[in-house]
Amino acid sequence: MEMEGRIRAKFEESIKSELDDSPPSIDSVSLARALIMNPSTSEATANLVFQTLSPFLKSTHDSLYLRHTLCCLSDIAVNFSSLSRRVFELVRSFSLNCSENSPRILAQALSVLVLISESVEDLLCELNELNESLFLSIGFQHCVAVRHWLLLNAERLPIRPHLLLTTFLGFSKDPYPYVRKAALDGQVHLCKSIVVEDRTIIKGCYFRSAELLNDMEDSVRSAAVRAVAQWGQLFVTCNHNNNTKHLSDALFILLCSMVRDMAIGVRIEAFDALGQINDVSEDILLQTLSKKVLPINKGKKYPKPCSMNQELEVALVAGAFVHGLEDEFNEVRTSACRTMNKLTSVSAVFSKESLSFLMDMVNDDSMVVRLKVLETMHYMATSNHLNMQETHIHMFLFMLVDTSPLIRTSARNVFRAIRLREKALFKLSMDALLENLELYPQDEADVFSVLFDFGRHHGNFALKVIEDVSDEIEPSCEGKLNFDSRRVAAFLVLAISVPLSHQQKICNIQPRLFSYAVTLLGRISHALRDTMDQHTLLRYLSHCSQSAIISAEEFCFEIKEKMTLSTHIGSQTNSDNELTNAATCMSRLLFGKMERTWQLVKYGYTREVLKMLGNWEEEVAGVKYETSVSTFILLYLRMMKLLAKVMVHFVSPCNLGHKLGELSILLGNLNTSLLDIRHKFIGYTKEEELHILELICLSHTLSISRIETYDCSTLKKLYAVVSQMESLQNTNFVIELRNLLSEIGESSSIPVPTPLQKVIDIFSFKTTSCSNFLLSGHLKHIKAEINTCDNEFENPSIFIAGLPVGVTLRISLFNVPSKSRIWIQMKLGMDFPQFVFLDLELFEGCDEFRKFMFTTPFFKTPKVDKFAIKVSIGMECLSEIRSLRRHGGPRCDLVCLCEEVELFFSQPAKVL
Amino acid sequence: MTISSLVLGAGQEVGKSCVVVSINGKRIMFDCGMHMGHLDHRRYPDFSLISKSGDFDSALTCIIITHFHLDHIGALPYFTEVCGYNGPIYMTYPTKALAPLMLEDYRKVMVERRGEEEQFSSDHILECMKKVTVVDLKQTIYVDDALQIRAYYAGHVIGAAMFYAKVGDSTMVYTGDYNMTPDRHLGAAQIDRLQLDLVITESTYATTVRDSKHAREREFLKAVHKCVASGGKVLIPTLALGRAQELCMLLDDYWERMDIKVPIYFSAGLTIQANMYYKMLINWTNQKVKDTYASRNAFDFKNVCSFDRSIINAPGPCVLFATPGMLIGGFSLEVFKQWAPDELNLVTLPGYCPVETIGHSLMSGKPTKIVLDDKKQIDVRCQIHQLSFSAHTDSKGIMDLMKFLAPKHVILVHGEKPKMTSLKAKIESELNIQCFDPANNTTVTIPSTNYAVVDQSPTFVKSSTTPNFKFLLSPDKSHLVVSDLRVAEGILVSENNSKTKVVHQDELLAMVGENKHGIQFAYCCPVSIRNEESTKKMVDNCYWIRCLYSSLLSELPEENVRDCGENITVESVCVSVCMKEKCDYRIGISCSGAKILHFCCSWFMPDEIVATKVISVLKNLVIGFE
Repeated sequence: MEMEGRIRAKFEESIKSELDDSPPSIDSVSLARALIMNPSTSEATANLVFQTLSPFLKSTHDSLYLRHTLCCLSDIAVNFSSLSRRVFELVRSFSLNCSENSPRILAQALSVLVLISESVEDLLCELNELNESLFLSIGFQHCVAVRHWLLLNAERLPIRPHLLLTTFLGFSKDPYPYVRKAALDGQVHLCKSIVVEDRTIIKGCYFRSAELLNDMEDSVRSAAVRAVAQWGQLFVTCNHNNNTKHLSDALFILLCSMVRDMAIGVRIEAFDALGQINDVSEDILLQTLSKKVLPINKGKKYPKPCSMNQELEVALVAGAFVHGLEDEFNEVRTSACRTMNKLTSVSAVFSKESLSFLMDMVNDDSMVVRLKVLETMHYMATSNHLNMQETHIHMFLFMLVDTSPLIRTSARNVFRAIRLREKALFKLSMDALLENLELYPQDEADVFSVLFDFGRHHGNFALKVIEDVSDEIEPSCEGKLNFDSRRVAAFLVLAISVPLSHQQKICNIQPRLFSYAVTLLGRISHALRDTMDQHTLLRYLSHCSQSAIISAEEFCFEIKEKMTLSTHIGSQTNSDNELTNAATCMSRLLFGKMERTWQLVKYGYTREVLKMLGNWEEEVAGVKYETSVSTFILLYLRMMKLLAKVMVHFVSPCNLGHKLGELSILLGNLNTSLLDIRHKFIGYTKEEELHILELICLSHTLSISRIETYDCSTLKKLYAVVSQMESLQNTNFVIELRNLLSEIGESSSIPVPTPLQKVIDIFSFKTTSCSNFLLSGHLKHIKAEINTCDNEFENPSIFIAGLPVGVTLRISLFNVPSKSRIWIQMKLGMDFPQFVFLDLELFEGCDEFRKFMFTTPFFKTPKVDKFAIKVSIGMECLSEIRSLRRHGGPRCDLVCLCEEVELFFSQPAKVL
Repeated sequence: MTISSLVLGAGQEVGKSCVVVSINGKRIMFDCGMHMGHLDHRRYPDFSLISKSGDFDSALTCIIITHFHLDHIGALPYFTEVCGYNGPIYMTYPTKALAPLMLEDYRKVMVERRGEEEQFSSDHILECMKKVTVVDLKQTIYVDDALQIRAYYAGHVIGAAMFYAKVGDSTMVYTGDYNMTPDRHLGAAQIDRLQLDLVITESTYATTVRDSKHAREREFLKAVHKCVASGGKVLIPTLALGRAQELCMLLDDYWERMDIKVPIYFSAGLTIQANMYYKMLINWTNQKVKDTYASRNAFDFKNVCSFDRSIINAPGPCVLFATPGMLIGGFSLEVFKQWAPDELNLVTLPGYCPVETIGHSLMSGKPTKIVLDDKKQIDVRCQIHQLSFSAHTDSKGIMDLMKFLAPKHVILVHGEKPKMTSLKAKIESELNIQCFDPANNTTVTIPSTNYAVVDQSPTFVKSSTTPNFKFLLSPDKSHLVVSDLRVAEGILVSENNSKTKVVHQDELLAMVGENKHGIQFAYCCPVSIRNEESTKKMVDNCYWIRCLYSSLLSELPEENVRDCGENITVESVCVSVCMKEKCDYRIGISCSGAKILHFCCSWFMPDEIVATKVISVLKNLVIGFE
């Protein structure tokens, strides 16, 4: 404080000591800046500094002074938000009136304006007015540094994209390489964020960047490669003629001509760019693998984009990948591999041809490249393009005994997906896997799991191998089994995988092998933990070992289904659709068991049921990719757990272990859980909806049958639900329930224990629609996400006690129908929450996804130094009975769409 | 200004590289090699062509050596110590370090084995090396105030460099031998984009397009691995420098990854010493070696064990690198004799073997017996593997480098004549660069660049620093073309007694004190009038102009037609009614009968096409009342 006063005094003194007309010296400005930069400086001082400095901004042309002052002003605006608007006005009028100033000063002024407008949104439109003309006037002056700065920052300024694009195009002619580079990068960046439809501009940009591929400067060539790839593709797509293929080939050739550039950066860019192109003729693609021009490509010419007279020759493409793969720099080699990977999906012939090149790369001296190669091969194997030949396989098999565990794992991964066509190759691979196992026992689990997959994919080969080695597996003459030998264990794993092979309808594996495998159950099930659990495995093994000839089909169904379930979910290449199918599969399995579960609940086996449900829940939660269906299943399982817990109170009411009030809490939770299930998803089929309503009825009935949980509103709700159900379908359950309700209405004794047993009896997962509970897969989960925009405990927002404070949230909404009523709920401690309605029509986006910033005041700021509020987003359950009568708040129950987020506030440091 | 290159060696042949280049009064000798194929006077370049008097110090500014191979450096001690050149010599650090080894080895072979008279002694080599100035990569050396040279990485062997030389505004690059693809221990050639008058490039593989080396590496590893796995011994006869290190790196890396415990040996002598140098010259290797240097020196071969003669007959598998290559004698032959009869063993021959070496006979077909002399013969039952690696760039590499450097002229050396001719034609047709392939002892002279320094007017400076771009439509109107006028515009003014100056076009008139003159064309065009009535009515000129305006508008929609009251303008074409009885621009006599009205048209040269259009409209026009 004292310090501030002293410096302030010094500043004032230094200002006074100077002549009236001349601007303050640099020393005074530095003093001012020292004051501003100090976070504890009071606003009054800042104001004084501002007042003192601002008049000189208009009167002087001393560029040194102006630069320092603008710097100082920008600091004021940043550190004292209350002054930022005034700074903005001042600088704005300065930049409008002082066009005779040097471009550096004007650029700096512009930078201050942009900086302020980025934090104060409504200033943005004011900036708009002066921006374009100022931008152009500065850009077209002689100062190169300023021009460069402008181009780099152009996208921060609100300038019309079309104007910006033509400016970028124009500056690509600049004699200064950094300006050219910035212009090209600007084009590419802009092109990604806007839609350009004007063909003359697209072609102009494309041709201009193609010209710059021959630039003297490395960085410009790099940028030009990016630009060519971007504009070239746009150019190809906007061409509606039939020659799209021709143009696309020309673009490919043009980019290929850059892969031999002297600069490593350009080469990397060129390969990356090639990977973006997904439409190339096969002939051209094959040419990339041969340094000699293929006969089919001899004499082929394509128009060169930048000059009318020249032509692109296919010779430019020759050996592009050969060069890339033997490049000195592993970055280039990796990029070439990556691009090859992408292009294998374009042509099967290319994919086949490129294999031998990839095989050579397994000897590369860089681990990164070797891993990339294996990744590429894995990709090819999964897309069934990997046609392994005997000439290649030796080198590849050596990867299995590499010293690096990473390489070994990646190599084995290829084996998981590979399909071999010859038995000899299969045997070689088997031997290599066994050698891997011998040399590196630590890989055992993974090798077993690979063998299991390997055997399933090559049932016939595996069978033959097992026949060949059967005497190794059989007990030796002393009757000793060699199962502790890894080799034998590996053969057993291979053997047990055979019945699951698609090729083997009937299993020819000797049944006793399965019993041998049982002795290794722990090891095998550990290895196959991703595929099936120990229990299933044991059942599978014992089944197979019992019958001499296994008609495996009906038995395997279960395992297969489970396996497809986890393998589907496990592999990354599957689309969302398949994931949903997998989840649907899972749901079918689960709901098939629900009836039995309910029986157990009714008979009071609560503990067992809870354990089982818990296991299932774990399994579902373990699924890597969350889908709407898996979320639904999770919620459903949690609801079932609650239901089971509630049922204990009814099934064995005498149990004294129950705590007072536990039931009502449980019922309340069950109710919330059911509300969530009902309202947080859209796309239920009629059966599904009915089932959920039945569950709600059950829950309501349970709660009205006990005195401690009875609430007259529940009865009302029950009536409402029943009538809803009637409108859907008249099932037995509904009819019975309706009858009961009429009885209750007549008896009007409260509570109503009599009907309870009946309802529970009627309710079963069989009589209801549960048996048809096959999820359609059209379910969509409604959810929301809140981001607090940098508000953290460490970095609280400022508030003044008693006055409202602004709360800024970045909100994302998923699958929220536009007609739904969404509320922001802000809770301070145990107080009644404050609700803010979100009118969805005000925000852009579709029902599937909306994202927007939202600022709302929070009114009831407490008289404390610091506080935190919890914010969440809720959706009104419109179909529910309007139970809440809150002034201004939601009228129905809310379901919470996201997790609560905490926002922190603190008072500004008090000025003494 | 010219650059003249006197080719003293490697002209249309491989061997004794030596080119003397004269630029702007400076004379540089690039390389000073010897021919290994000749033992007579043709072994060395004909130095007398440089200076008849033998005063080489004043005839040459400096000597630049690109790398340590004998066909590039072999004649250097002879030239300096015997012929007496005392001027500066430039080479890179590794070349200076390894060249004495090579020279000494060669001298020994010549003198001790073949019993020839020595051309230079060990002392000569040492003395010669004392005169050498070393250069680093991309370091610019000022040989004197006019000549600057700079070395660029060339691959090929360790320390090989391309040299850039500049005297005044004339610039050139001498490539030496180079490789555009990297190998296990060396990187690819690397050079900046330079504005060059001349490039002198090697052309060993002028027509060959080489395929990827990876397949050959794979075959090599597979063969060696198979051999040692079955307990055999592998013999790799190789040169001491370069290939041995490369193959050893390949094996060492593979050994490491596959965890193979079989020992690798280097035969004693040169190779061990060379390995030591390699370890110090990490900076000259490729990215991988440099990157891993911090953790481990790649030439610190992990699996290489110390060599002992007893291993030759010791049981168990091993890999042995032995000098000399090609099995021409020495230790490698000795081992070969011992190992060849066992079919488990393997002999790998890297690189090219000349005819009449054992290496050659092994590679051509699979002999069962090799006759050494009358008394001795070797049973060959071992496996033979040939490995063709080359450290020279292929034709595609040469073309790539020439395309990248884009010099004004190219001279090809270090190659075979027919292949060079084919490459020369390719460079001339595909790259449009003038190319030469001179024979030995001939001179090629080419013009060189000379820049003139001129003053510039302030207006020109201002205009050329301020962006001034324009958008035009391309000739086929399909896309925007941007042009920046500031860079292109400027007029070179050369006045007597004052320096040449560049001025802005607007300044020119004021500067020379002249008015602007333009050539204007004119034509008075007759137009028929529909009927007599119209002339009788007293219509004024404005009426005719309006009539003409509307028809021009409809006939020439693409032009910028403007009505200016008294006349009509289309660009610089101006059309007005001509009331003169006799107009100078009228051609021929108007035909009688129909009433004629004259329109006088005038235009400037650039708008001739527009004018033709306007006049053709006028000629076909009939105006007046209906």
